[in-house]
Amino acid sequence: MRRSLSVAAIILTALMSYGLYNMKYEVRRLEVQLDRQQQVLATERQAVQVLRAEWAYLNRPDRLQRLSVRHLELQPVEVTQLTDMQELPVRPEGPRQKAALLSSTEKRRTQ
Amino acid sequence: MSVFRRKARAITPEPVHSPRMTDDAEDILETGRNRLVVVGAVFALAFVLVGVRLVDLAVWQGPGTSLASLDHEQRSSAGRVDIVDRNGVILATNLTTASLFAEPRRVLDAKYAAARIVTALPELDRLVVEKKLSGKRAFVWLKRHLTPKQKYDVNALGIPGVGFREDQKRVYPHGGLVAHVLGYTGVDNEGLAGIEKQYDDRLSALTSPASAAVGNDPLRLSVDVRVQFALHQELSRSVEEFSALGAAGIVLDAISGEVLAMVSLPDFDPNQANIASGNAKFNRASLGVYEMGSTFKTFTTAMALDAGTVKIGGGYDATKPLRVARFTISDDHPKKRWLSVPEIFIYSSNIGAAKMAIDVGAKGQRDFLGSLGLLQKASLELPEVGTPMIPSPWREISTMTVAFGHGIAVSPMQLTSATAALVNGGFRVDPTLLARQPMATPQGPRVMKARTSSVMKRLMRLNVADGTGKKAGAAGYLVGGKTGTAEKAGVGGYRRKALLSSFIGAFPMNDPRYVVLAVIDEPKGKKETFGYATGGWTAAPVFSRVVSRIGPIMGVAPVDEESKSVRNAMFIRVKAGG
Repeated sequence: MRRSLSVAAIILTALMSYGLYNMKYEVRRLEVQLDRQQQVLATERQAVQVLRAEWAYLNRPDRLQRLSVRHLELQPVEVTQLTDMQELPVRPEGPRQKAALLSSTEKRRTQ
Repeated sequence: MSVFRRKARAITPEPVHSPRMTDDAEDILETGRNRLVVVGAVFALAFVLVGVRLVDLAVWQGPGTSLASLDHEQRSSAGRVDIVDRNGVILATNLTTASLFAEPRRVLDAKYAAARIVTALPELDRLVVEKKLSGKRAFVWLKRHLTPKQKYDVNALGIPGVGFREDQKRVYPHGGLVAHVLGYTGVDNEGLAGIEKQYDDRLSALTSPASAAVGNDPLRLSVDVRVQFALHQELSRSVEEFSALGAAGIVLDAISGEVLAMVSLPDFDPNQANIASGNAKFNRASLGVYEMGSTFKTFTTAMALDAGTVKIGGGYDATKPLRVARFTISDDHPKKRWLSVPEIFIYSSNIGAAKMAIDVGAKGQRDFLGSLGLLQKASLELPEVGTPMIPSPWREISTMTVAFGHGIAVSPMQLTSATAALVNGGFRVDPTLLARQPMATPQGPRVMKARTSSVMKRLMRLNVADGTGKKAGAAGYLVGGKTGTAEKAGVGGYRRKALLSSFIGAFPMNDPRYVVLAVIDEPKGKKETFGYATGGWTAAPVFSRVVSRIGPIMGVAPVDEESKSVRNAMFIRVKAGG
């Protein structure tokens, strides 16, 4: 009885030592991986930062204006080009509207 | 003798009683056993506690704080918070650069190394580098903030004892566009002017990841880059057109007091602030204080109407120049007759304005100008804010000259915020460079009657429709405002040819949202302006162009100026009884 207990204890100790050893190496491996990931993250963040700065630089209003004048036929909006919804004239009756109107009156008649 | 005897007695054995002895031994063994059990129990308990704690740590509290969340990159992010405009456009950010350093003790051949380094970095002086490399110091900077290409070139040389260190460089993608608002930083990224200096603590708070949650939020300004650009471009054009010394301009939200644009010309590139001249760094919009001239007549008129010393239908005689002590106050465009209040305003009569101010009195004038914020420094969040120069003592003659903007010097920023109070319904406006929550009504205290503000809006509109400010008109945007032309003070009096021409106005006048100021410093008249360099000829066109450009950007709906409802809203009787 006492002997089997001792054997069990020894086996348990051996197993646990092995487990601990494994765990320790696993942790070390993960730490190295974490470090590497964080380095990648830092590099990526830096790249994002550079791109953001470049985006702001390339979107300078004076540059956009220069490019727009050279490549686009856009011009500043004139005041006369803007108006209110209420100011718009009523849409003249088109053939489609007429047809819809006719069919609705016909329906009413049949009813 | 006695020693021996004592010793002999000591070794004499005691008489032995065996039964008593066994009893004692058993007692002792018993106590020993009991003690062992107690000690054993204590140890067992301790081990159990340790075991429980282990299980507790490993299992129950297990995955509490993960290693991944412990940021390892504290060291690299010791930078500065970004500054963005009201729409989130980056105005200032950081770039990681490489800085070249040397450890002179480890440099083998200083002369050779210096010669090689100069081939890669021609802007460095060979002798200076050689001196640095042959010194006894452990560490020395050779050049800060290298470009990637320069870094590659130096690396390719393969010189021992020379290395790179990661460095943060503050960059301003928009260059000089927002220079006077942002300010600039030194080589170690410390704020030296503008917002960078004012909010240095807040901006440099990026170092610790604990404060990262709040500290990494960019500082959001009230400035709108698009508006800033429009103002900057139009002012630059005007400076060139009239060969002026400089210019200043401001666009202010009349309700919230947010500064949408602030330009001071000439300006500088904050990326290379060290090579900029003092004149370029000088902020004319907020630090410079100037005698603003006729634009002050808006305040005088509002003051007189608000105090009730004159009705809008009333007026003053402007037939003859006004003589006080050794001074003479005369008009630039004399009408030589009685003028109604609207006429005094649109013809910019000095005599009329002076008489209006006299009726209100020096105290009333001080109180009114003070309540508008014209007598104290502006509340702007910049280190560069000018203190106004006010008459002291405030005599009767001061009252008269201040009425038309002489003998008092204020910053363009003060003039703009005070005008905002005239058109926003009569509430004081404290200008700010930080973005605020949108608000429907002004938050400041009331400084004049709503009725006075309403009349002032009509008067300013009238001045653009029929008065000195005709060139400020911008089709569809119903602008109103006042011109100003002040002679700059020189040695021994005013210089007739050195003018400070300005135009201050607001739009849309039926419900003003934005106040715009344009100031041109010493414009020279030219043929197209018939030699005139006054506010109406130089600054008013800038105002007009700026409003036409920013109106669509800010979503101001254009109106038909000739429509009946607009004409009625803006109606004012110019001639009394006429």
